[in-house]
Amino acid sequence: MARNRLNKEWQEVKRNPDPDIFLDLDGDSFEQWQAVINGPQDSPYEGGRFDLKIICTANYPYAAPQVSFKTKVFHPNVNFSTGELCVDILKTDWSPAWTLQYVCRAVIALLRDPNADSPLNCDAGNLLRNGDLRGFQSMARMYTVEHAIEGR
Amino acid sequence: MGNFAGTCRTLMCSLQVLTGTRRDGSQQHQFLDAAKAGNFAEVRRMLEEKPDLVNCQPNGRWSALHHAAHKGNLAAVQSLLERGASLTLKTREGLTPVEVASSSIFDHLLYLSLQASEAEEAKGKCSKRCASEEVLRTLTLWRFSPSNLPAGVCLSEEDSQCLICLEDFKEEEELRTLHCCHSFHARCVDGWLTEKSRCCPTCRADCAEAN
Repeated sequence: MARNRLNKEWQEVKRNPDPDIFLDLDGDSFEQWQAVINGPQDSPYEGGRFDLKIICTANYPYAAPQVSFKTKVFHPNVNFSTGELCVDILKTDWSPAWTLQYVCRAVIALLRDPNADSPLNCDAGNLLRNGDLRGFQSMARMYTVEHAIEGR
Repeated sequence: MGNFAGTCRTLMCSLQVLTGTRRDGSQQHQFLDAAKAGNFAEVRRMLEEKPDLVNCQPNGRWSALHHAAHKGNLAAVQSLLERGASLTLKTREGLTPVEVASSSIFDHLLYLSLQASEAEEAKGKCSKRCASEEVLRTLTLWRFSPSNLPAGVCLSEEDSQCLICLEDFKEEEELRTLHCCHSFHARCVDGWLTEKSRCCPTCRADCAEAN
């Protein structure tokens, strides 16, 4: 199942690419994928290009893909050192009707709307929770410029 | 980054305390401050007022049960457990209340936590979230034929594809239609409903509830 379905997704991505998402196989198997997403406009991530690593197990789409950032990003729901993501659609709320492209869109939406209530990066979460939006944005911007714009 | 971040966090915490600007989590912090100070009378009082504080861990702090266990206060531990405190919560370092417990009550807590995990397993891993075979049988199962839909089944143009395998429905294939009217191959959706979740993959409607 996983192989056929991922093949379908691959064909669809090639036929109908999303301008903000580059998504392709990483190697010869359908197991590992790479994605590059554009940071959303009007956010501290704007102009940045962020690499994601996506792994699909044989149980996909019944099991959610494992997604992590390869590019360093300062965001309350992304682990700063491992790039691990905390987003409900990849955990408890996963549905087999979602595709990898949909997942990438959800990650872009997460960059646009950080959720400070379930932080993997406590420093980013605390800045937001204490209402220090400027502090958060300048930290996020600094890492975006350093790793997702100039460092590429 | 690690040390710098830690220092920032400490500084920020002391600033919050000094200026009293802690936002919405402030009640949770007060609750945990009381537990940390060993003031379990206050902990009980706050729980009576707001029972869902019991497992709160704002900023990944130790839970109230961690503090009670660490102090070896068996009465407080029991009172927290009665109010629904979880033995599986973890500190930032990944330690459960049992693992931080004072040696005086460690054995007792370990016993309680083993009992709790056995009860959890006995409940079955997904009795709540998955559909039973009986529920599955209440959902329409039919052979696909666009010109001949069974009663209660609607199928629009865009529904001509199974959203799980992304293949088009073909004549004579077995389809399962949920109460929300979304259809999938039976071979694709049955396993999802009975083993993973009873929510419709498309709209998340609970398939155990007929509307």
